[in-house]
Amino acid sequence: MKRRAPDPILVLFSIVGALLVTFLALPLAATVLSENPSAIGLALGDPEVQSAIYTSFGAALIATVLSLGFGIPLAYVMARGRFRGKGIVQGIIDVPIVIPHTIAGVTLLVVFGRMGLFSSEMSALNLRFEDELLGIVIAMMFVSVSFVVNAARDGFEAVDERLENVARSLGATRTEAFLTVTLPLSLPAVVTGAVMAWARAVSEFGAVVIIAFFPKIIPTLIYEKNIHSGLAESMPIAALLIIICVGIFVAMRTLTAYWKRRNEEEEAAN
Amino acid sequence: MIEISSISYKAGKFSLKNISFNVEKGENLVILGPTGAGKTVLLEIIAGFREAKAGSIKIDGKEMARLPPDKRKVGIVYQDYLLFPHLNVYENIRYGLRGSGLSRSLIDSQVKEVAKQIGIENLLDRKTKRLSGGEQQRVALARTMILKPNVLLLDEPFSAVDPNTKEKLMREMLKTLVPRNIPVIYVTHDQTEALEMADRIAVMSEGAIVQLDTPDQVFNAPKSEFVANFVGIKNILKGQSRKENGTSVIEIGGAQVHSSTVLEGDVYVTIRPEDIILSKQRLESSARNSLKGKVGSISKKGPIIYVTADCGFELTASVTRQAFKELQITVGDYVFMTFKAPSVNAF
Repeated sequence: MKRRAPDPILVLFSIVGALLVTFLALPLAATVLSENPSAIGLALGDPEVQSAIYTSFGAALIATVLSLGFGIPLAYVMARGRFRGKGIVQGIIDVPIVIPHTIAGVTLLVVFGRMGLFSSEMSALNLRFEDELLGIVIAMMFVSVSFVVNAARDGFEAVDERLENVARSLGATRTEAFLTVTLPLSLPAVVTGAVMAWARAVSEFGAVVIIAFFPKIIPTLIYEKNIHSGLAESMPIAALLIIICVGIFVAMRTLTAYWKRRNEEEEAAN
Repeated sequence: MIEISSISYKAGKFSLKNISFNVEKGENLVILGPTGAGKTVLLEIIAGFREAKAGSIKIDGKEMARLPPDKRKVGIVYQDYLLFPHLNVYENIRYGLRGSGLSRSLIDSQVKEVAKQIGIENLLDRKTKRLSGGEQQRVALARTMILKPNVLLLDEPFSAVDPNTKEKLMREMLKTLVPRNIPVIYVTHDQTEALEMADRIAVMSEGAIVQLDTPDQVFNAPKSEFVANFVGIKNILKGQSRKENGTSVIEIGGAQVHSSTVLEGDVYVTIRPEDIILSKQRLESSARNSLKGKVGSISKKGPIIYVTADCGFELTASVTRQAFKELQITVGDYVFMTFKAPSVNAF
């Protein structure tokens, strides 16, 4: 049998799409490929770089866990609650996506800085954010928590409220109904939100650098090296981060695709 | 026994007004009403998903109106069944026993027992997505019944089932699936379904119960115009059925009617007016029933004209204006009413 000629619109879309993918991939590939592998290896061996990697990924992970802890309850309230001012609350949730991140950093300083709103309470608790890991974490959380809240809210909204009703008529408290029905059913949405939030947190620079230049995260380190020593010093680290990030994301996408496929196969087998 | 008194509820423009009724153990109360009458809201108030503004709900003497749904022991089966999609059939049925403190083997034997009672023991390891409507309904019922609820609420249980299997499922529901020792409240907008399932019928309209009576009373002695119009099935008849050659012969008044529904004993019969062919001479046709009767009344409703004749019992046929003109029928004429055996619905 002769194969059908490809649809012209599909051909056109594929060409346009390929241009976009090139636009995204070329700078990354050029940075990585133009770098001497030994320089990348050297960068990896540098204790300063290693510490920045740990700080970046560690702070992003803590920020994501905190975002889940606070974001899931808020998302549930936004999905199920009917209250006055809901639109305003949703607006506030979306604000960090809209405002420039250096502004986010400044606003955080206004509240959590040494001279900020809570300066007396913070010193009483011996709590410091400026130039501390905690400062990096709140900056990352500020710019990324919206992804968790919005994704989880969409996930919860997609679960029929009457499924919770049925669970409750079967003896489950509201908490049990949430944990055994609503959360498992919206888990893919919550996980997607968490992955996006973590990615956003790892890539944050503007908000972090204003509240905490130290301890240095990778973007801060690259910025500093670039200012002081130019491309030669900053590029190997940039290449390293690109490799790590692309690696993690490809692995994550492959894993979720595999997860999805397995679920579908399980269904088909029934 | 469940005693509901003076329940009122308000949500936006919608409200329930002063709803009161009792349902005895083993009794089926059907709440019948058009869409938007507030039937499902009432069920959700009884189950505890919504809170009534005022009123009392007593189950076996105990006040429930302020208790959360998980403390009420009220089972509910929604019209779209709402099985938990992330759990298989076995896990769905087991859900209510989770955290009951029973041993795994005891839970296992209870799940299997209830599944066997309801006839789904071969479905236990299936996912819920691939089940038919009837199968899903049974799983939903098993999931509720395993907890031995004190009241069972059924929300339009047959609306998602195709008409061919509906009849069979209704009969099974009555005979084997629904427990005989607890009150059952059953919501529907379908008159024949109500007639078939009910011990008593509560007709609901715009948030209020407008008549609460036996099916006989509701259909034959409607107390208001709304009830008369809404239940308005013409040709609801009572008769005596016996089997004959794989069909039924039903004695109604002095006349005999053939039905393809095979039943013995006392039955209700419904014949839709549009299924009856009206003629002045006897028709030669394959239809099994052709009764002669004297026209008693003629009523006009829009493009349709209803002709009622006494054929030993009152039977009403509907004809179009055009056909009525051509037939030239007047009150007092003799006519023939012809209809096929499958048009005679008996239950």
